[in-house]
Amino acid sequence: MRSRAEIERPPQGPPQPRPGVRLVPLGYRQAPPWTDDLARRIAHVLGGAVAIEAAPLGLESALDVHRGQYNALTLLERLIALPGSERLLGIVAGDLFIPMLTHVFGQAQLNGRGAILSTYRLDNAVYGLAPDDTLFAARLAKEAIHELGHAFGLVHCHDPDCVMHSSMYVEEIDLKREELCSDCRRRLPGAAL
Amino acid sequence: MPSPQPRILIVDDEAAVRDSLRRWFELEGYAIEVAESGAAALRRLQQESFDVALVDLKMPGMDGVTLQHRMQEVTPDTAVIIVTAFGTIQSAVEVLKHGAFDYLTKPVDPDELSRMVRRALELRELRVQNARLRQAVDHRGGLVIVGETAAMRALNAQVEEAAHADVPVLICGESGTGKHLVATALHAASARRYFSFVPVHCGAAGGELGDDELLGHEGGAQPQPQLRRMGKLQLAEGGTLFLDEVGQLGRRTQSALLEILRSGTFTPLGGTRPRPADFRLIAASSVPLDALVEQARFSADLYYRLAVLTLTCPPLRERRSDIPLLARHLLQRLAAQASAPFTDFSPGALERLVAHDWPGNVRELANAIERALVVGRPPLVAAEDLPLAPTSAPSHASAPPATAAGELSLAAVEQRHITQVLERCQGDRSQAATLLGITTEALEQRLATRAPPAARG
Repeated sequence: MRSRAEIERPPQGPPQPRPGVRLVPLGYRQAPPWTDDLARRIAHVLGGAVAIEAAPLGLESALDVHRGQYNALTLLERLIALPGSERLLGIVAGDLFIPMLTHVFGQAQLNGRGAILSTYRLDNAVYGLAPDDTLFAARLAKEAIHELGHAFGLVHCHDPDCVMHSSMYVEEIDLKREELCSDCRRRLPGAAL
Repeated sequence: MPSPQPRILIVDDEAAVRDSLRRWFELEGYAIEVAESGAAALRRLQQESFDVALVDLKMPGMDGVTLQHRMQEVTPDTAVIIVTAFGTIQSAVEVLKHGAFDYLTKPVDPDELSRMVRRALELRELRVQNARLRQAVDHRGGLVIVGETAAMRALNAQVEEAAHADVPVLICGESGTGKHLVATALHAASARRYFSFVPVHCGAAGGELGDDELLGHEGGAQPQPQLRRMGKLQLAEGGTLFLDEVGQLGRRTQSALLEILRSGTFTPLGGTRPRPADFRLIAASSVPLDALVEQARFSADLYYRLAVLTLTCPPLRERRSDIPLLARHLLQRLAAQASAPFTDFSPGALERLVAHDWPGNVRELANAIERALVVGRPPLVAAEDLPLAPTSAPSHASAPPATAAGELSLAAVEQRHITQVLERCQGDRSQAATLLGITTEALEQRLATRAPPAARG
């Protein structure tokens, strides 16, 4: 099978300025404690401006009461309807699913307006382990960069160290690094990093 | 060469499922198409091919199992993964029995889905590679029986036909005419080509093959009880056993072989259970086997079992017009082997090659060219590089002597000459007439009055 990094991409025109990023915490009564650190880590890897701004999007309509999970696609549709031109990353505390799959860490529009991410399965407590804030922050940053990478047009990468490598379990998130491999950096639209 | 972007078809009547799977797989870098029903999927499959199809089991109209059956006919290479919310062992067994790659129950663990699709793509890639490799060894594995004369065209056609018959074949022809090559080509074009081709030279060891050599022996048999030895018949299992110079086979081995062919089984030494004799038998002889039968030197029963189909390799002197083509073919091969930068023959060398009688046939021709590559100067093989007398009389012992009075008549000589020139011109009468120095009409007249060729015994 052809490796993912070898997949041909459409020819790029002259570099365009990369749109900024807006983090949108969803369903939180007050700003979560990790937002500033997350914004800094995203800016460090992807470059450009990263803003934090909540939005009054109710989560109820996306809740599947039988599954006890939120439909990631429903949330994503509502998120990208927000005005503006920046890339949006909605972050929820509840577990996410998409029809067919038992769960997802997040879901993105490939080369689109935004992405949605859940912190639920990034927390050690879900697995009956002792809380670890440092590990949680690192997992959150990697998955946030990963989903935004999709929104910037990057597909999954074969390099296990690259943050765009597909992760099915938190242990796999822990194994990859909080940065893009050289191939993915090159494919990222906008200014050279 | 990298393979193209993997293509996946998602067939589900629920828009949300189609949309979510499309988005999921797009992130993996796959090319995704969706269809909302079995009928729509079949229309899509008529336009393009897919590596993997994810098919919902329960759909209005055509259900997933029916669609899978139809896909097996239209696009058997596509790996079908059936997905359903109503998983039962019965439905799983049914779809797998009908050739589905695998079966998933909704909701699917994302890891399981990704792994399954990857496995399906890997299997598909292996199948494609396998097909490529088979193509490479197909059609005689690239073996070429060179010749454009009528006799060689007929031989090539006979090889094509005989290859698929899976019956014993007897190949006759003088020494060096390419009987071994024909046997190899028969094997390579047959359904047995993926198994072994086992040649046995029957003249070795006084014509008698030891039982252990022919039949092999199981562990515990004498003379070395600790060793198990594969005999020729076991080596040829599923493939082809080629008995070269079968006329030299001793009487005892003839009897053993006849018994194996009669019973269709053989028992290795030290073995207790007979094994099926699952091989195709091809035999070759440079002496007429029927004559040996008449002289009681060869078993008549064995002869009739071997000669179910008989092919004859003509001597080189009877297909002179093939000599330039064959010589160039050999030159190309031998020069490449020897890393010698020879590209062709000089006109004088070609003339000498065509004039020679080649009692040793193609083997002698190959040897002459091989020698020329050593003594000659590239890029052309010159006439003086060839170890041949400028003119040579027929010298082959088994060549039919032209002693019959009729064959020495002027008319017979003329007819033979016309036949040779026609062969050289590949049947082109106009060109042959030019070479003969007569008009086409005159040639037609001579051909119309020619006597039928004398039968050869």
